[in-house]
Order: sequence, then structure tokens, then C-alpha cells
Amino acid sequence: MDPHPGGYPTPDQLDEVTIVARAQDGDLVAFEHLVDRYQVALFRFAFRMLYDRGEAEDVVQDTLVQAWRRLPTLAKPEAFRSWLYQVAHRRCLNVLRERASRRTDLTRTGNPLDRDNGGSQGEYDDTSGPAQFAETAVQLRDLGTLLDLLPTEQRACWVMNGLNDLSYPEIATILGVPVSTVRGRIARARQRLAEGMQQWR
Amino acid sequence: MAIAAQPALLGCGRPIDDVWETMDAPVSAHERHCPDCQAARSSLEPLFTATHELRIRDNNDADLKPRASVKASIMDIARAEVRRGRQLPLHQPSADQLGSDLTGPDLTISEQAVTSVIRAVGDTTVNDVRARRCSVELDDTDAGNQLDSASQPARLRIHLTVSVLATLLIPEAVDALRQSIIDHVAQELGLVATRVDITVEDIHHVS
Repeated sequence: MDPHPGGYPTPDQLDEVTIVARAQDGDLVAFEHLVDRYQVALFRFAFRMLYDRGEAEDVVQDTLVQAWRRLPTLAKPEAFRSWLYQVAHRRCLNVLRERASRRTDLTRTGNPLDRDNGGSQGEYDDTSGPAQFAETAVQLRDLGTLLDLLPTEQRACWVMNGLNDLSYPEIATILGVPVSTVRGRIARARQRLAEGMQQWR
Repeated sequence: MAIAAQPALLGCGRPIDDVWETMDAPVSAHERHCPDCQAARSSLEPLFTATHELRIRDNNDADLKPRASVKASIMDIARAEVRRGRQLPLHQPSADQLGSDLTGPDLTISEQAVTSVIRAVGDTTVNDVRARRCSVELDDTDAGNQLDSASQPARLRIHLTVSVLATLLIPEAVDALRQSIIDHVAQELGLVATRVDITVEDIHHVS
């Protein structure tokens, strides 16, 4: 058999199951590739869930460190991405719960039940967020703010599907709910967002 | 807006999901004449546009990714907790040594170091075969037959799972990989691979 004419394969030329399998055996090069592949997507998911850069970074770090520790026991390497989102989603919920418990004594605007676990209504820290955020089109600011006003479950589903391109069945796997539940949450999120955007005009 | 209840159907019976998914497609013949679809489209239009623009913005926003220190921390922790697996002896233990602690005075090598050599063989010597999971164990059969075991290199049983290119002739490729692993384990580690089990668990296509 011929030697590799174009040099040895690098991880980005390998299929994901192969990379995950190698990381499961403790291959750091393979694991680093998985970090490179997923850290931005996980960060954006966490940022849209939490609206806080620092907390989103913590979620990314905790998720990927936990991935490294638990990789050897991952039964289905092909489900690696779903598994990552599952961990990241749980950590986001924990952050939101901690926020809610810190703020129980504070007067809140809006209906707390409507916010599920509570959250940072409209909160946006310009020093830690994208600096030019406020300068962008009004419509974009609307969507960002409206997303933060959605109930947590709806926001998670809408962000995973609408921004992170995950399919309904994959989101259902991540959340451990039927596909019909995901479909319903996304439909309700879409309705609220669409109505909110129209009110803004 | 007619998007309310589940199942989310418009008055004309069309799922609202369907409208959303075809927002960037040309207006269909049905939509052109259906007031429900037209109302749904126009109510969803601002959100659809904003979503599209938010995605573009996020992709171009250098601030909307974790700082380099995040990956650095992750990799620091991973390196500190690297799984080296069991220690394997470099020399074949004698029968009476087998039950005892292998991390004694004899030289050892980590399972992880051995499996990384084996994985690299797949990447570097045999085309179109991708090494996946690899495990090794000491082959302690016939241990009593060695008169001077301390001078004998350790014997290993190796198990490797692989994915192969869909067009590959699997028996030839597996035989070539097996021989290559035996050669490299001898040359690079000074160990003897007495058995190399290769499981083809998947096929892949040209990437």
C-alpha cells in the first residue's frame, strides 16, 4: 500500500466518531480538536441562555472538562455533540437557579412564573458583552432582549434550533423530552418573539 | 396571529413550522392565494429577518466566543488529569511475578504510550484506515516456558477498532495494518505483539 501522499491525516480530516474514540482513550490531540470544534457553539448557546459572557465561559469550561473526565464511559461516541449540549444545558439551568435564589428577596418586574427559573430581565453588561451591541440595528437588539424574556425552556429550544442549527430530534434527545414537546416549545417561542417584534415597531 | 395552539396549524391546515422553514423560498402557488399563509408569513417576516441577521452578526463578532484563556484552562486540566492507563512491563514477567505488583523495580511503560504508537501506525503506514479505540494487555500465556524471562521483551495482546474507506479491500488492509503494528511495536517500543485483533466497526468516505 502506498504511504500517505499528502502527509498524515490531521484531526480535521477525520470523522468525528474517530476523533471522539481517540479522545476516549486519552489522546490529548484528539480532545483538543473537540475543544476547538465545540467551544464557540457551546459559548453562544450559553451566552444566549444566560446573557453573561463570564458565566457563559464558565459553562464552556465546566462542560468540556467534564467531557474529558467522562469520555471513557461515553457509550455512544456518535452522540458526543448531544451529550455536550446536555451537560451545557444543565449547567445553564444551575446558573439560572442560583441567580433566582440570590434574588428571591428583590422586587422583580414582570411575572416570575413567566420566567421559569428567573433570570436577568433585560440585563446586559456592556463591559463584558459585545461592545458594539448597542449600536446595531434596533431589530437585532429587540431579538436579543426578547430572547432573554422567553421562559427558559422555550429559550433553550429556540436557541438550539434557530441559532445553533440543531434538529428537533437532537434537541429532544438533549432535553430528554418527546419531539412533540420540542416542536411545541419552539412554536410558542416563535409566536412570542414574532409578537414581541411587532409590538416593538 | 394564528400560531397559537398545539398542533400549530394555520386556518388552512398548514403547519406553522412549514411556513417558517420555507420563509426564504419563493412564495408558492398555495401561499399566493391563501390569506392564512400570507398573514403568517408577514407576521413572521420581522423575526425571520432578525434571526438571520443575528446569526450573521454572531458569526462575525470576535467578542462572541470564549477568550483563549478558557481553552488554555481546559487543556491544562486535561493534561494534568491525563489518563495514562495501566503500567505495562517492558520485560516479560516470569510466571511467579505475574501475580505480583508490576510496578516494582522493573521498567514499565504506560498503556497510553503504547496505544498512541499503535494509533499512529494506522495514520502513517496504511492508507484509508482510521484507528479508533485501542487497548493492550500483557500476554501471560506460556509464561513458564521462558527460562530467562528478564531478558525477554514483554508480549502484548492488542485490540484495535478501526474505520476503513468504503472502497477498501478490507482483508488486505487489515493484514497490512496488523503487520505494520507488529513491526512498529517491536521497533519503537521493543515489545512483542503476539496477537493483534482488529475490528472494523465502521466505514467512511473520502473527506
